[in-house]
Amino acid sequence: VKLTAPLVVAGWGGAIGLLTALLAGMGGSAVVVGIFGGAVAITEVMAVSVLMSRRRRPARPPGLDPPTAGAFMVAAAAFLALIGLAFGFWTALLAIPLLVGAVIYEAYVYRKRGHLQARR
Amino acid sequence: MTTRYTPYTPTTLEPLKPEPEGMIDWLTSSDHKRIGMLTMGTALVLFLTMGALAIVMRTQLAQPGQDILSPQQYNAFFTMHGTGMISLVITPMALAFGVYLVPLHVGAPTIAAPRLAMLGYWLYAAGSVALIWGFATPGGANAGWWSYPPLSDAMFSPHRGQDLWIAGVFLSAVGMMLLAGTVLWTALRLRAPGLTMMRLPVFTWSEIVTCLMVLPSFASLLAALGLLVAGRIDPAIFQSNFWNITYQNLFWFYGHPVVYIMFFPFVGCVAEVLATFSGRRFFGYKGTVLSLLTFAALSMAVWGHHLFASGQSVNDYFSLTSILLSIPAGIEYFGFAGTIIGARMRYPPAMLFALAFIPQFLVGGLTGIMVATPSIDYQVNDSYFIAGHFHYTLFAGSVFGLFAGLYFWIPKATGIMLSDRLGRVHFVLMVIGANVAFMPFFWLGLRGMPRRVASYPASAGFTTLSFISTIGSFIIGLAMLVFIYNLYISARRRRPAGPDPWGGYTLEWATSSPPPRFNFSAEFPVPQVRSYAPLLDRAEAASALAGQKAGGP
Repeated sequence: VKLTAPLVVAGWGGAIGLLTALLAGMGGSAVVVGIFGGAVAITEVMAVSVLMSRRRRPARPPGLDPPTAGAFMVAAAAFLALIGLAFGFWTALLAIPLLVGAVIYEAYVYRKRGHLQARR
Repeated sequence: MTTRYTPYTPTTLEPLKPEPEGMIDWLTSSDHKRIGMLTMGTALVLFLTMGALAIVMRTQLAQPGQDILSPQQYNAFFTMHGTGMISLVITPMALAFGVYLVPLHVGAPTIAAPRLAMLGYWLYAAGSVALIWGFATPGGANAGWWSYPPLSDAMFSPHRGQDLWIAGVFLSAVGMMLLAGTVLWTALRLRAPGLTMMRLPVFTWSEIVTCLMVLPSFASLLAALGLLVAGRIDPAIFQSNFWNITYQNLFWFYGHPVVYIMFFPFVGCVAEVLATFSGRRFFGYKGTVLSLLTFAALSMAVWGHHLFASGQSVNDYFSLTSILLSIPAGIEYFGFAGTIIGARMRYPPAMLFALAFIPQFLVGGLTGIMVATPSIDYQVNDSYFIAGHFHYTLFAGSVFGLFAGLYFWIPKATGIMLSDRLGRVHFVLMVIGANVAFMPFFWLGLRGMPRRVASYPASAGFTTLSFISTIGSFIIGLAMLVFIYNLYISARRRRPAGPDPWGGYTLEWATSSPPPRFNFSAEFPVPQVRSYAPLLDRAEAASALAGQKAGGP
């Protein structure tokens, strides 16, 4: 059997699936079997996405990635939203303009990248 | 129809320009090498910070009845030390190696989804800020790195530090998931032609299994944190034992696999270092790959051994799976031994750290097998024996693998050789420090010293061993200062490394040091790959050709 990327992920998911079944057989509660089963499901979804991606377009040529300031803005927004746990959810409101800014910035750079690709 | 990825080789139409070197250029870069180095640099600074907390704790415990820290402060210190070392230091370092090296190892010009990788870094950085902020608030987070409810609920931990702890761990966990996803996708999807799965270097395999574990186990952590938030909003939730035990299961479904997430990449580092400095291919490649996959699968199935003492675990199952881990671990050790036995070895600092990793991690692993037995676990649970076990695993094991990797790949990443002499001094101090600091933990545990105590009475009989351990922690601190000085002095001296200072076998050594923006170039193309050691193949082919020419027709 040729060891392909989807097979590695699916096979590994199958292995932890077997361990889950063994846990269920040895008296694991619904909660622990459910948690472990969730991991199997996540892994098999990953395997399917790897399989599907092999049937799609090749990776785009590199060299056209603009700066990633949007990533900083999204992370800052997530930070503000989560520290609301400590300081009240008004901090989450501060996250909104940052998220909007990140979306506008990303839309702009993706459009710019599209122009660059077309020029190539 | 299946479409294949075509490797990128720059042409004269797109000349390679040096990348801008400003701080903003680094912080907004989509170059995987910069993202990897940012993550590694941040984790290194946090490593020194968390190490400093450990030295303060050891100073507190050097003598009985000291009051350098109050019990509450001591709780906050060990909470921050544990959470920080796991969430902010060793896990990010393990993945930073993957972010930097996996695209090079698979002959790819970039990492898959570089913007997502950079988001992963920023979330990690934001998580670090939140965690340190929480530590600095009055009261701080002091419910331990596992933050079990009801201790961590709003009734028993009403201060903001615990909320910021949740925010920080959540942000850094999401960041790690994004980094792991991009590394995994790169290894699976962006391989150069001819680079089949069974031609990937051992290090890349170690990153694949690590990332496979990160995605489901960190998802469980996010669920646990969500449950904790719900419990802080409504503490009545944790009056039910069902939710307390559910939290513990969700937490340890992350908490145990993360130990292996902090271990596998450094096994990969050690494997590459041992093979290179032994002048051989890594012994037992197929067996090692299979053992890594098996090891990773089994290590997802052992979390319940943390609940042995709760009486809420399927002891037979979790004891069986925990003891079974010794089989794939044994195969990996067989691979290490087969690679170095009888070889003509070289001993630069990277090799010294890799060699020390082997026996030291063995101590951590074997004591792990001991505590996987419920009857022994009941005896040593919550004692310093457990602290000794995991410090041998994570410090004397993983951190030594980390330094093997750093000494091996820093010349590649920076183009500068580190001082060999200072590296050896660092190594000697680390070996002495780690063993003097952590070996006494086993005896302290067997004498009954409980973990997480801020003080102990003079009559307990813990004083001498605690004092010895404190001396060890200061030696580790000194070793780290030597390492930092080595980085500083080497950066000033700038002794050039050249593309392949060690005679390495994997693809990153075929390109310049540091590699160009897209890793390979017209001057440094991706070599043909026919095995997991393509540069050794090339060297052997060149040597055979030279032999033929010398021998004549």
